[in-house]
Amino acid sequence: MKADDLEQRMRDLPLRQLPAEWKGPILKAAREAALRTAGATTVTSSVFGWCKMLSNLSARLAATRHPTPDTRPALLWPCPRAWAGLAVVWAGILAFQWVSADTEPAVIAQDNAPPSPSLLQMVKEQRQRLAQLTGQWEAPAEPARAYRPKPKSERQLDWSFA
Amino acid sequence: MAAPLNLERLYEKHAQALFAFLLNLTRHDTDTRDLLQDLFIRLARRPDLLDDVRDERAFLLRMAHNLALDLIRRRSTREKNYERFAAEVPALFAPSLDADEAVFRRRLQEALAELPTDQRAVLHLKLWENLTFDAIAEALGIPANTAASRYRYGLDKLRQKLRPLYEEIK
Repeated sequence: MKADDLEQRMRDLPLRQLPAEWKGPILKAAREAALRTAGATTVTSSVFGWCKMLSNLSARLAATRHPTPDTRPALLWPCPRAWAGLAVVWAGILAFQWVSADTEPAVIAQDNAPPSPSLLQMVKEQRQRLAQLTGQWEAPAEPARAYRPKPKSERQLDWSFA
Repeated sequence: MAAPLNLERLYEKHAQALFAFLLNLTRHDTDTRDLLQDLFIRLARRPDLLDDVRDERAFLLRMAHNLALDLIRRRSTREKNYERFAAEVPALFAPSLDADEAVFRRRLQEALAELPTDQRAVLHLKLWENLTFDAIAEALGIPANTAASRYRYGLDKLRQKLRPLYEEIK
């Protein structure tokens, strides 16, 4: 047998045909698997998408420092959408900051502001007048003297006179 | 998220080649169908796999080869006597109305079944996918020289096994 005969004869052999009835079930199984995968990864893919977009953006910004003929014309694509998305996010953050910045300091100031001395004095005087009018007012007793120990030399003198 | 693949287009274009390759490797109809389905399920789940691929056919053949090797490893540890109890080697070639040709095709597929899987894989890609040794090396993840060696050894073994039949037919 010549060396090339068998090789060529094998090349010329027609291969068995793929059964036609396999196509439907195989593609159906593949599509169902794709739907299951898409449902399971919706949340994670959105987070991953944001991260990927930001990393692409940083790569493009880095490329602007050393632009090449390939990056310069591609700098603005597909950036418009990415830029718009970033702008929306930043606008939302700034709006939230502005709204929360208006109310909190005023509330804190109102809650923690102590009453003024004049106001306290006015309240005290009105209470006294009310008490006088109703006959419940009594002259305030002398405040008890606070005990203040004398120096030792004077104490000894006191003892000697006691 | 990547756009969904056109699975039907991929099936129409590549399924026949993948089927023949998987059948030659597994030598089992049911396993071939399961692997083909598994391959398309993986593509459907990960449409990004083909994003930067230059040669779709070579990439898919590589996927098929890896799946087949995994199956053969699992099969060899679970079913050590699988070969002994297998009914018949499945038909790799289209049937022929000529009696001598039919005998030749049957003997050839039996001889192919006796080759190691790695030689069978290279022979199939060289003879029926018409790939170069470089392309075969890339598809199978081996050096090009190894691909050429396996092809040479495999072909020599087939010639030895088929020589008596060939001379008888002549």
